Amino acid sequence: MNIWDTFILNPMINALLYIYNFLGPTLGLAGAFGLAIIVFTILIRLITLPLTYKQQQSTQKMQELQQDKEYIKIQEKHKGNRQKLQEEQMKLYKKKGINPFAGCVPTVIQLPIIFGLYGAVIRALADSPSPLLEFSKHIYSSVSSTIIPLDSQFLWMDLGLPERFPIPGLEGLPLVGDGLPILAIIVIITSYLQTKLTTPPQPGSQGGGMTQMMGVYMPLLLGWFAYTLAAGLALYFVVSNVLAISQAVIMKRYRSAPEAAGKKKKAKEQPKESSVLGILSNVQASLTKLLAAPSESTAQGSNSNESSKDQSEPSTKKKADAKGS
Amino acid sequence: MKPKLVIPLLIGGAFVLSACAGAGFRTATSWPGLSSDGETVYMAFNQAVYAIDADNGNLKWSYPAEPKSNRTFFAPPTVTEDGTLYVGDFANGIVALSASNGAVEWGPIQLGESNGRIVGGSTIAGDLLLVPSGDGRLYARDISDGSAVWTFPAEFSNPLEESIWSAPVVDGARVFFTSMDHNVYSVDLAQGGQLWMADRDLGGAIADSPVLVDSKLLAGTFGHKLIALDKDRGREAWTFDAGNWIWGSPAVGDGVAYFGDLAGQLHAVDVNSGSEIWKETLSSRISTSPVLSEDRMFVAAESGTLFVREISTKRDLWNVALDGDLHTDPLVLGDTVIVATSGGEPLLCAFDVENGTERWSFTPGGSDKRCRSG
Repeated sequence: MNIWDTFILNPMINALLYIYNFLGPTLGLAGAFGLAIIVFTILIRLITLPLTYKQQQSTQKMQELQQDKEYIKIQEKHKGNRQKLQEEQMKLYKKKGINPFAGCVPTVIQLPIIFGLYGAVIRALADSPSPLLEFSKHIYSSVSSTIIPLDSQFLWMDLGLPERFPIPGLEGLPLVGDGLPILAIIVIITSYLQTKLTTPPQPGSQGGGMTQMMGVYMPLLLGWFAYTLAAGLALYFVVSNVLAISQAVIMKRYRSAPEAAGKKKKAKEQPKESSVLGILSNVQASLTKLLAAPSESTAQGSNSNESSKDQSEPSTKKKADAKGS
Repeated sequence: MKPKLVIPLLIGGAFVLSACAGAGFRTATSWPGLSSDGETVYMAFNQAVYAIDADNGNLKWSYPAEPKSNRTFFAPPTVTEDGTLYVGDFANGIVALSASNGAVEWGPIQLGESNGRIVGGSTIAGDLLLVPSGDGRLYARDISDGSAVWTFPAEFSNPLEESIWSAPVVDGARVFFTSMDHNVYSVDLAQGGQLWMADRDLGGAIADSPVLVDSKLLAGTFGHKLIALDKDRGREAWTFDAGNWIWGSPAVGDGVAYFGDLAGQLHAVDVNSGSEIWKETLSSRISTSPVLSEDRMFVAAESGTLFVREISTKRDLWNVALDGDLHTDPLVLGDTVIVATSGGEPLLCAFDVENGTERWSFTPGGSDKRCRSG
């Protein structure tokens, strides 16, 4: 056993098996391995919450910084000198205590999880002798062997194979002949939304270019993974993305609520505890905004109509300035 | 980091991730399947079936002439006295070949959906060929032309929830087989109707064949148990807890069942009472069935060592460490023992049963490597 197996792969495999054992054989739920992946993903998001929370705080600081007079001044002053602009921006980031690369943190954290989960799903759903015998090496003695072999079916999917939703009439067509890759499409959409919501905008900087590229290529890459690899991994991507989007929206709501309260007396009456409907409406507002103007939305608040209106003014002004120049 | 570096890094990551499991999702594979008619060793492995001279290890023939990546063979071939070889593949097909030259006698015939793999060997009972399939069905075919006689469970009903990975056992008019669904079944040989299934979930998947000893059927489970069932009604006679997964079938001699487990323990259990006679820990996991021949016991351990013991004294006669893992049961032909390796070279090694002297080796395409490295 190597370090990867001992510290990443085996704990993941066995965590999945414990959850599977509880949901399937104990509670008798159908599609237990798919549910185990969902529960596992939620646990992973909870464990990494402190990190993602800090990252999203940093994202919001970046968004606020773009309305900072000093920041706008630097942009105008060093418009023609890219290198100088970057230097000044970095100084300002340092001064304000902002890490411009914080947007990459969740992605970096996710990589070992993706690799580990991918290995865990592939191994756990072994359905021929050699892979199953190999899988047995990774199982802790405390896991009940009565759960083997695992049930790989979840809804319409076999979690050990690439997901395709069978649609009569598509047979023989290229790419979709075996069915529609619904999960891959959802992965692309949710990855795009997640990146837009959680990645700080850094116009004009090197980091900004990278962030923009990540925003485009990461969803496509994850979509490709979901299209070609085991459906269990695609399920992880979808659940993880949805949780990240929800977290981002909720954080924006809580962060912008006090600001709105300071500006509008009416906002004081707003309940501290957000209702489910409130959260949903925020998600809806954020998504609508993103779809309407994807390049702008990350620079703007997306909490309430009022707060987004408040925050849209500097952005509009900035656009006008840019046009003028 | 330059933005342009991001794309190669992502593509590199994608490549690494895709490479982790070959095809990008679970792959179906197994170890070599071995059988013999005394003169020839038949080996099903990957995309071909090989007939090898048992005396010198020379290749007699191989099938098919043009191997295809979507048709692989791992189930031990079944050979009849009249010289026909039946081989199942991992696309749920079965083919009948001439044992002398590998010419196709009939088939390949598709038994069910192509995702149902044939892992275990077939069994011949009179004019019937009984083929266990990964699709959860046992197929009975006419040996003369491969035509369907019956299927269990019947075509109009659902298959078993899990695969059947091992060869069935025939006793008169009854067929017994195990399933990965934690059960043992008995069906009527003539019609394929169910006679019984074990009176409870046996607590673990069963990968290898049951062993018939007098009125009992013995089967080892992944649930750590060696279970003896009454062959007439499927009721449990006794259970022995081995402490780890039991993959291979027990070998029975003089009222004692010998079997290994994945913790590397070799057990000897009294067949009548299910009580332990002795156990010994070897240096490696054991997923194969021991083979008994006269007073010798051959045990292939996963780490690549073939242990040869004297049964009466438990004394080590000789051992040999091979390149690769051992997952295939050893094959004893007179004074020669043959082992197939997984992931090593040579693929087949033949030794003198007396002293372990290497007799010959075989690797498809040839190899300069010797079985004994020392």
